[in-house]
Amino acid sequence: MNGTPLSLTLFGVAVAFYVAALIGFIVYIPVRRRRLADAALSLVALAWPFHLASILTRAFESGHWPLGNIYEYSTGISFVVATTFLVISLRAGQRLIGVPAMILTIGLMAVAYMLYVPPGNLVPALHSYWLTIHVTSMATASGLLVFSSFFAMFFLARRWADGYVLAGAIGGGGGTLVAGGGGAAVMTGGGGPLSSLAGSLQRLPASKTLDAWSYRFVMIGFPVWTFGVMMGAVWGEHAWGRYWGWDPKETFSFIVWVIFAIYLHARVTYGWRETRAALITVIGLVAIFADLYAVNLWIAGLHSYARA
Amino acid sequence: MATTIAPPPSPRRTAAPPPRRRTRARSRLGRFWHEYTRMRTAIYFLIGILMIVLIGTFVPQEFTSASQRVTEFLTAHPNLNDLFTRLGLPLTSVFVSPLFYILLASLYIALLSCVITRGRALIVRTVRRYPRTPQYWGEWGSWLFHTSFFLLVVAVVWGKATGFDGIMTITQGQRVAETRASYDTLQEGMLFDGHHAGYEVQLNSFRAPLQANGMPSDFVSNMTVYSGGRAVLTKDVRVNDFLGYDGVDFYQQDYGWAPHMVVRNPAGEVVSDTDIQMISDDKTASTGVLKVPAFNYTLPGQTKPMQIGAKLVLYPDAQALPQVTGASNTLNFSYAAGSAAANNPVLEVQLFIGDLGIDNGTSQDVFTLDTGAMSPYYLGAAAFALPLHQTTTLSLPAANGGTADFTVSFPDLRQFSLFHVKKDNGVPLVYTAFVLTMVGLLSKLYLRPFLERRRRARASAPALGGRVSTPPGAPSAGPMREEVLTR
Ligand code: HEM
Repeated sequence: MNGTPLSLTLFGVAVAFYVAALIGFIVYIPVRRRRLADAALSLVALAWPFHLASILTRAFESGHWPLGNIYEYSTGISFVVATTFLVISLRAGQRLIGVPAMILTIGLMAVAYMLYVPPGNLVPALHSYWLTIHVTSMATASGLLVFSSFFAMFFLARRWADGYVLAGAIGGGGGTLVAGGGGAAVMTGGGGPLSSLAGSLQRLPASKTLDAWSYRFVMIGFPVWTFGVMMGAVWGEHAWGRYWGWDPKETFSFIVWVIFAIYLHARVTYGWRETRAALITVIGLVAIFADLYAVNLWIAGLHSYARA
Repeated sequence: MATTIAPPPSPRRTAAPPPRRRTRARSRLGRFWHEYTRMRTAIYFLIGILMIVLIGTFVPQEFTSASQRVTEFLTAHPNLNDLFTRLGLPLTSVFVSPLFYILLASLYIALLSCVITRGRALIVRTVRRYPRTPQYWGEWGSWLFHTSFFLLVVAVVWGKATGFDGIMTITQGQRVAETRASYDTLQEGMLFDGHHAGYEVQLNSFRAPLQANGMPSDFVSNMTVYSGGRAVLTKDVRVNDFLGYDGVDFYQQDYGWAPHMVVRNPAGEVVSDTDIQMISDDKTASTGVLKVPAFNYTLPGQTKPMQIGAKLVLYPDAQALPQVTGASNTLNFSYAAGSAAANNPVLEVQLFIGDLGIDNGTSQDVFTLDTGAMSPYYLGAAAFALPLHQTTTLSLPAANGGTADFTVSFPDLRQFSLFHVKKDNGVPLVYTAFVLTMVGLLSKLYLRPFLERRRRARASAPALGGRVSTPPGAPSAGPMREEVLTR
């Protein structure tokens, strides 16, 4: 095939719309016009079919399920992220989550582009429907679990903002140090950039709601991750005759699993709720991406042919 | 264990108080046990396991990384590794380290206590016909989820203990029995009964079709299983498609070249007639070793019969590079690797004579030649080239002052296939544990919210007949009514 494959052209169109949408969402933070946020959301909705079409055409071009190398995998996760974002915004009216969601979507697609490989055959080890199930659920779980940390980060931000504003109300704006809900907030007198930020952040939903949404995405993502790891084990048994071998990729998927198991326990453990639990999902986010890129690119193992 | 439902008071605890000192010791123990089995402690155990596993991803590990990287690490950080080994955590084998096992065992003991107490409480509530609240079903789910970890461990340990795990190489056309002697390496579990399946497998043919980029698009072993001399199963074995028969599974793992070599001694006797397994990374050039311990010829003036050995390099697609050398009898061509296809197979043979060191008891592996007690046949250990289907005649000193000729030939180039062979009866049980884990997890996470939502819907719906606005899966821990994110 000569020239740019159709899948890559469609990919480019999707990225362009996503970038425009991200700009809209960022401007929405200070400008606070609902119509702006809706326009940005429409751009995401416009990008989505191109993104989907890019994945489908790629599947036709290469003749296999389009999750066979790191370009396809990154594109796939970004698609899950964009889709999840659309569902959240349409069902729950949330717009600000578009900022982290679009940053991640565009970031993943940028990495996909940097690691681009033309459509082609798979190495023999990747011909298996177990693998298809495994990789698809891992990509889906990754795309879902990241939202738990987005909401957790919003939760922490909202906590901080509430504390800041509360401290301002108590301290009367006079350079006092007051402990807020999410930590200590230093008052520097009313009306500074910090208090403007706190004001913006207070437009976020109540911290309790954000916490509940963070938990909800663990509830959805954790079982999918669990299932994906198990399918990986079934595939390993099928292909190599061992369901677990502490290969770096397996090990890291286990790490992510344990992190979110800790999160679930933390939620029902006194002293570990809310703030600490929120921090755990952020660690989980880091681990998911370490699993995705660091392990594939720097740590060799049986799975590392997925790089090709 | 931080829990919403306290276990029923056990009758033993309400019995008459024993003497004082024992009570105190007991209550201290009780407190420790209470602390130990709390969920917070489980979190610390999980964090500990996390840390160890994290080390395992960044430090090369003995069984999963290239051995040279492990050695590199050990030579670079001897003190660090020493320190950690003393702490029970040898850095290059963390997954089998004492500390890892201790943590796992601690977690499992706490989990066991948790599962027993909660299971008992659940049974009591079931027997006493407590109301079947959504909470109740969720707790069964959680119980099932945690209990399935025990099934998992039992399945893994039992499967490994009663089975075996080995590597077997089979050359094209060869038929080998599934018996202990046929393995290159074999690890049998502690409870393995010693009975191998005993049937035979034959490698009928092997294919590794090359793509345009020189990489194989696939590699396939066509195998037949013979049981009691009768062919019972023929199958193409490839990665992702193993051969399983009578509880023993063959997995395609690797392959390589196996040049067939024949050596005749000066008396014309065939003293060696074997397929030699070659090792390589990319199959375009591979190395191997020829050993002829029973050459059956004694050099003049010697008492012991001589042996011969050779270091071999095989180029399946040799590219000749002409060389200008004056000396006769030595290499006039040197070769470079071409493709991995058998277009022009040539063996480079570097011959040694003397003592192979086999009979003095030192262990010998088939991939290395100990030339300590041998001398090169050609000065400077030069090699000669032996193309496929050819025979080279070489001479040795004879008793009458003349020469005695012997030959080395390369009549055939075959391929061998390398299989991971194992028996693990625990696998179905492992999969059962997987299913139970999923069932438990989904019940815990979704059944309760689902039932609660239905209940709320029933309670509030009749008048309005509309939908309840709570998003699905809302945690029931607190009042979560107005969580639609409208901002
Ligand atoms: C010493 C070991 C453990 C103990 C004592 C323990 C205890 C508990 C307890 C008491 C709950 C609350 C369940 C309920 O409310 O019904 C729970 C929940 C849970 N545990 Fe464990 N657990 C242990 C190990 C594990 C492990 C190894 C995992 C797997 C990664 C795990 C995953 C979960 C999950 C997913 C939940 C559900 C959380 C929720 O309530 O939403 N646990 N555990």
